[in-house]
Amino acid sequence: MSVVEEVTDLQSFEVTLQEKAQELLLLLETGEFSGAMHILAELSEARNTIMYQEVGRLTRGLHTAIKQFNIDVEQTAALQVTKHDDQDALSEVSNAHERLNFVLELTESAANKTMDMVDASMPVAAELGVQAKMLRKDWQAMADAQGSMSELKDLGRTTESFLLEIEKGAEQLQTNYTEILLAQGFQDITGQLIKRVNGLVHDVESSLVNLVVVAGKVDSIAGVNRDLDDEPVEAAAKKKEDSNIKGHGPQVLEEEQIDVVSGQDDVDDLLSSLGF
Amino acid sequence: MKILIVDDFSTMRRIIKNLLRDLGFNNTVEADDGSTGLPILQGGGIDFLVTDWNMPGMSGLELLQKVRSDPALAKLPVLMVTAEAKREQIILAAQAGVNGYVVKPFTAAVLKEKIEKIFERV
Repeated sequence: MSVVEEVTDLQSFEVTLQEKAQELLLLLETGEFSGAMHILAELSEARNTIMYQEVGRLTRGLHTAIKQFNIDVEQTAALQVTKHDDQDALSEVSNAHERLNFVLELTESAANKTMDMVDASMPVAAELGVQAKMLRKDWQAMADAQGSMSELKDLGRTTESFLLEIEKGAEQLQTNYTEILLAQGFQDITGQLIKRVNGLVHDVESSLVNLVVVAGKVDSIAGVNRDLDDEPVEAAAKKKEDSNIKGHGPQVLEEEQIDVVSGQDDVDDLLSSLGF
Repeated sequence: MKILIVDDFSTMRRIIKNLLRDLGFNNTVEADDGSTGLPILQGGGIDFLVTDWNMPGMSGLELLQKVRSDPALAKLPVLMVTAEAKREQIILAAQAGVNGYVVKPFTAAVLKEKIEKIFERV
């Protein structure tokens, strides 16, 4: 059985490497150089295989995730998921994650609130209609009875037609409210889309994390030392300044950030401390 | 009194427009970002500017800076209605010469109070 077949993942490769190293040492000590060279070749092959395997697997995973992502996001192109920002790729993804969750929360509560208002308004409109109808009938009867008093009759007719208008209006209101209620169906669709995008963002993030882990392993297998330095301080400062001018977008977790105001009162306090 | 409302979301412009109408300001014009708002301001006749901050193209802060650096517009009262809530940004806006700052989400009462406060001073 060759080393290549035994190696199924990085952990087992490391184990194999340690085992084979001891074997190699033993062979070298006993002067079995051809056997030693064979082990070296096997190890080298195994190293290449594991690298190609891992990279291949992750590439496929990423490819699938990105493909799905494109299909799902196409219909919601208006959704600006990731905006230019001053953080690295991973925290940008977690940022998008947070933002989308916030959008979900906001749209859901807005939709619920609107529907609560509609639910509360509909009986009112219905009651108005009922009362108007009753009043109109009362006035109709009164006007008919007071046949000799033309003025009162006119008044009666005017009021009657006015009440008829209210009746029609109430009916219209009810129709409108129903329309508003139906229009809230958007939340179902946007909610589903956002949840899917959110899931995909999460998947892509996991894939990226795996890729970074593997890249680190590949580096250590290949014996490369990479300087993982942060971006230059000046560039970061410039980006921060740009963001301050262009805007950061709505803050999601206000209570956790000391550099963010918690509401209008906080803004007013800050401005008055500046002499406003 | 003619008011320019600058916001990239038409829903938000509509909300502000309706609130302003309730406050008795019927004469409003709209723009969807600073770069379309500025020519309207330069065209003259605008007495009050209500602007968002984060918009594609020219941001509200850049618009404010352009307004303050234009001698013809320098005295125009500007109210910022925005979701931007970082302290340093509010300080930036104050330094740029904003007359009022309202954070989203806001209430009709807050908008009314800030507008009245601005006109008390003008």
